[in-house]
Amino acid sequence: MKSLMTDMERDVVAELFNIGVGQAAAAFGSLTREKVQLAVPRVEIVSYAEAAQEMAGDLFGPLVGIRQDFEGPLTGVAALIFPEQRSLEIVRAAIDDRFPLDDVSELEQETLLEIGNIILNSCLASISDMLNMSTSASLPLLVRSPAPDLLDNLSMQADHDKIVLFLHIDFTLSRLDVRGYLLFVLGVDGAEKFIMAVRDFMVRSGLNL
Amino acid sequence: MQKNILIVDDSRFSRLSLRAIIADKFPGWYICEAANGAEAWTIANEMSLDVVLLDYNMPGEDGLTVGKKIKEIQPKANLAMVTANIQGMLAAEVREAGIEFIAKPINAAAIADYLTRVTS
Repeated sequence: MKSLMTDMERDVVAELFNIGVGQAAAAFGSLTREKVQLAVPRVEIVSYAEAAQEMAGDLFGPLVGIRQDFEGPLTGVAALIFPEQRSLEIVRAAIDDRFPLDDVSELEQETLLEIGNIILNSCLASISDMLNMSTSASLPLLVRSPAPDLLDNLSMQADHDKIVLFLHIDFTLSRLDVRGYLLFVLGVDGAEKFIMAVRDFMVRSGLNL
Repeated sequence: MQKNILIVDDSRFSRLSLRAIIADKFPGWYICEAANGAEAWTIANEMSLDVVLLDYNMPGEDGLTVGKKIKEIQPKANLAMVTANIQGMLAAEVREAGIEFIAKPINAAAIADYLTRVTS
């Protein structure tokens, strides 16, 4: 999988996602009204099986995943994943005192969907702008699942030969300690299209191929 | 002075957030909500609107298509797209259609500034 890109292209992809995730973190911070500290995202291109294995070894217990289908420079499925036990705390932070609510759990699913929508779109929009392309997105879908089955339950299992652009991010909020994943499942065509867009970007930016 | 404002967003969380901001900053305004373009179109045909706040990515027609249709029948209404889709190309297309572009997450100051500017 690694041979799909040169070292320089991998660096460019990492930087594109670094900026994109930075935008997403800013959006997350604004939503929860807390400073979000973000570790440098780790970008890997792995097989579906490798991604599932890494997730299962790193996140335990029930997980929440919010997925959206994207079409543009990144054509495929994007998902934001974090432990379910943190979900209600994230929802509380997002709602805070914005509006009166007797029971926060009443709005949990709607709020998680909107958080996923904002984070995924912030990241993808930033990358699309840098690559000078437009991206369209489906409506977000929320799935709760045990860790080992989450990718399958997010309906990412259609083709196990698919390539996973695996972006590992750690968000830390002052009151919460949330660890999660942002990942993109691309088909072979989607991955080639993305790499071509990255190469065009490098040429426009005057980077040597 | 009372204004009529329509919030169009499929996310209940977003509708509640916008409603809370408007009710706090502009008490007395009449606020109505739609969860998609079809509901928004029905309301736009039934009442005069001063402001319409639209999401972009919704079931059925997208917010830009809905906004253009509403502008045709209510040319005096002020429209703003409040969306997580913050791509430059979309923002340009929205502004070209005469619709303000406001990025999500919803920010109370940005919403209040916009509403004050277009209604005063």
